[in-house]
Amino acid sequence: MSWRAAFVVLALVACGRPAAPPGRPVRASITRTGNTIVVRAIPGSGTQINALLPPLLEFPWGRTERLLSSCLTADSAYFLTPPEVTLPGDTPLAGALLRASICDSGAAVCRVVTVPL
Amino acid sequence: MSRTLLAAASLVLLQVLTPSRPHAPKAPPWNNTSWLNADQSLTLESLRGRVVLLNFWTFTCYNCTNTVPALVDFDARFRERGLTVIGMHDPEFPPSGGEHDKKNVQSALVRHGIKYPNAQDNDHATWNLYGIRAWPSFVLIDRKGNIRYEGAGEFHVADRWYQQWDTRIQELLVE
Repeated sequence: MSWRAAFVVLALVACGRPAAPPGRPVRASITRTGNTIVVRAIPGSGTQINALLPPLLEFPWGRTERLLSSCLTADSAYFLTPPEVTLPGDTPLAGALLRASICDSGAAVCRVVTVPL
Repeated sequence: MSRTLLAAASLVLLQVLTPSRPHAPKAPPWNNTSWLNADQSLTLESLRGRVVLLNFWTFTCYNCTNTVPALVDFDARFRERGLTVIGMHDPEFPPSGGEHDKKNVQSALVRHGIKYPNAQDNDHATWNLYGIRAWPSFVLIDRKGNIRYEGAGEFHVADRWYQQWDTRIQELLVE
């Protein structure tokens, strides 16, 4: 096994990856804990989230928040774990959009997906 | 009767398998005004008589930048023979992502050794005009201004998709 492949395997083991939802390129996961809300972008089966253009959470009043993760592929191009952002617990999520650049490893193409929260 | 059916079926199969379009549609003219690596705006009309390979890309798309060496190679090998490679730079995200900034596009061209012309397509007008859906995408236009081949997806120098595009380009160059 090359060092590059070993790195990817190690990173996958270390970072983990939640089960991909079938049929959807990406979905938003919302977790409320105490005084915070954590929003994560979960990639669908066979897709990767572009780390060169991290997902954005867009609020209807104009504010944007970037979702990030420190677990990246060896080439830093894709997230190995779902990128996330932590928000104040009283942030209204109504009307917010998750915008993500999703790359399909099979067809080697990327597209933009927007998901309402 | 069965021979006639077989002949008809063969004809249908041939149509499906023939990659080049028998009635190629006219390529719609683009109107991009912001260009890099070009002294002036390039129009479809001004390129009549040349084969044109349009590459819809953005510098934040890894699949796109991985394909750039193959496009640089096509440009180096075929420019003198009549090929013009054009990068249509189409941002994925709203302007806050930095993809709309001409300086960032210019930096990307230098970083990736791109010498062929690039147009900024920040409003996706040309993207929509050509019905593009994904990054990177490719449209190959013949010397008469007809769309002859379209496709999407990363490829690399010497892989089978590169060979496919290479064959297509050379086919149109000798017409």
